Amino acid sequence: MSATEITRIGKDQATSSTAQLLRVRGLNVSLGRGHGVPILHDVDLDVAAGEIVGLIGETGSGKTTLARAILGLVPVRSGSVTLADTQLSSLRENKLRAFRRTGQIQYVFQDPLRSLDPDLPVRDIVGEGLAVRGVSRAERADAVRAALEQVGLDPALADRTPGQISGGQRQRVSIARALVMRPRLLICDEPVSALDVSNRNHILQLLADLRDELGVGVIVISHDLGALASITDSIAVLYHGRLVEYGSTKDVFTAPRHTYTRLLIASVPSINAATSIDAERRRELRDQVARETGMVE
Amino acid sequence: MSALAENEPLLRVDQLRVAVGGGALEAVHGVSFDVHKGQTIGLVGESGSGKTLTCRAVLGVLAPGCVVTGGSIRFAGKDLVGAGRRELADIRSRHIGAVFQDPASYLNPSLTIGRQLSEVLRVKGGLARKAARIRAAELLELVGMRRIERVLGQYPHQLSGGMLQRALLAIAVSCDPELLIADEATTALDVTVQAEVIDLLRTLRAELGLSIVFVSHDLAVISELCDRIAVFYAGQVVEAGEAGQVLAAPRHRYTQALLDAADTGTWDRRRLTVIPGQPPALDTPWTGCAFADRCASSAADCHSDGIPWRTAGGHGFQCQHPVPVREAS
Repeated sequence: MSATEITRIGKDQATSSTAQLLRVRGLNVSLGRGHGVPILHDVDLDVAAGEIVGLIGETGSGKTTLARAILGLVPVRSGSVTLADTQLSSLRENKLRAFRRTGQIQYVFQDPLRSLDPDLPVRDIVGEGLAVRGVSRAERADAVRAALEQVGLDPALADRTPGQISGGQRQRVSIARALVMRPRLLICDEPVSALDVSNRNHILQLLADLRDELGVGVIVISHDLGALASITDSIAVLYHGRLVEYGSTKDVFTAPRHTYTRLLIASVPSINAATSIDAERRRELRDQVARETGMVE
Repeated sequence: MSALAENEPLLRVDQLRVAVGGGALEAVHGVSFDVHKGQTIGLVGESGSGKTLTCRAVLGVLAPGCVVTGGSIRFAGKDLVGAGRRELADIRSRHIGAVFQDPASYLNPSLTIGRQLSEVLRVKGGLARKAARIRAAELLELVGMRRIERVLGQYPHQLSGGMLQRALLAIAVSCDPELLIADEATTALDVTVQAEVIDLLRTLRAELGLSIVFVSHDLAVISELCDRIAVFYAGQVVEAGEAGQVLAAPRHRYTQALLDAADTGTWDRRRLTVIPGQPPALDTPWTGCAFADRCASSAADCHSDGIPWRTAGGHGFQCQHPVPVREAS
């Protein structure tokens, strides 16, 4: 099988109906000068309101590029990105900027130390989007307090700067900053990779609670497959810019159909000796992935 | 280094105390553990629990403002705390290797991998230019790198995260160290690359007879690699023992909480467990057990000093109301 013939194992679309929020169809993205280097090939993705989709795959597989393409931060070569009734991929710069100001899509980055202004107190960081929108100071204060409480932070932290709070608290500030805009879709790009297990669980469970309570649609990019299994509804697997498997979380993790997905699962470390990493099995799967896709590392 | 006496550990950290903030705030409070030849010990615990400070103290590379204020670090019978700078540098360069999280920040972005590896071999190993180049290629082969001639001529930005960590491991083992310190060396790597680095560390341990101090906050990764575990909490070791025993039958309530928060490996949907609260801040003194305020099983006597370190069969812990011993099934 050549690189262009990677099997795509489709998600059963029957369940995603009226609550459809994000619809990505046939997305192709190339980056760089001229014709550029193709990064994403013909990617489809759906997120319903109140659904968490986990996006997995190795570094360089296109996960972040897909997230940025949804936001309109990288040019789309072909294909479409639609949020509810708005086709984002066809909006001109001015209209796209106006759409962004509505805050319907919010982004949470991997490293809050780099994504939060180190000189601003938490209050101003969380309220900045509302200030840009022209919301009054009093209303902002109420919204900031409510958002901090929603992510489980003591509103008394509002006076501190990012450097004065812990890593887990900083990531919760990032999520509060997103929530204050009342987003319909939240994109979290490796929000827990720098956190220890308790803080990781805190952030991921918070996302699950926000899905359940607010009906927000969420895309989470993570290497933490075990934790994703606990909170996601669907899993999309990217490999070399192609969606190679896409389905319900249970199906993808317990009955993976693409060899690359099986390799990912076989690479997950385990406390249980019976399911620990088997180097020989991993080598076989890697060789099989190379044979099937024509991609050699 | 002198030969080890029988049963003498390669590394013995004994009652180590490290203070930060120019020595004003103690962050490591009397940490002790042994590492024997060929053994891998996992240091596990939350961010800020003192794992990295302990490793940096062993390596003699504490950041400015951090000082060892008590205890000893004996490597192959030699006390490193009292050693002179030159002596320490010699031990570090020839006998102890180290790898850290974020390998890119430990390599020079403007020099090729071959040049950086050869430089270490020439300066520390005393090899001539050509011999160093040959040895560099051998080391890259040892760490499982493919297309070695090409990699030797590449710059760090041209390599993936996994390849960079392999290159750093090649540098770390270049002078045949007895001890490797791996501080969060697999954290933030892809799951497939992390598995490759775990495989590689297993291979290096088998082929070179390395002892390894492996630091991670991920119990599953620790479980994949380590013979023994030391659980860190608020700058103390609160439980230590053989890995299988500590993971299967933890006694300290904090270890149990970490295990509850870890992945089950079953792919089931479940509510993720959080350890409530935060560890005590460095400037907040506590008495008794530092975990007591976050522990569902704590009682008034957990706040009193003098909680004994109890041991049974090489498994030790310091908990006033430990997890009951499970009956063998």
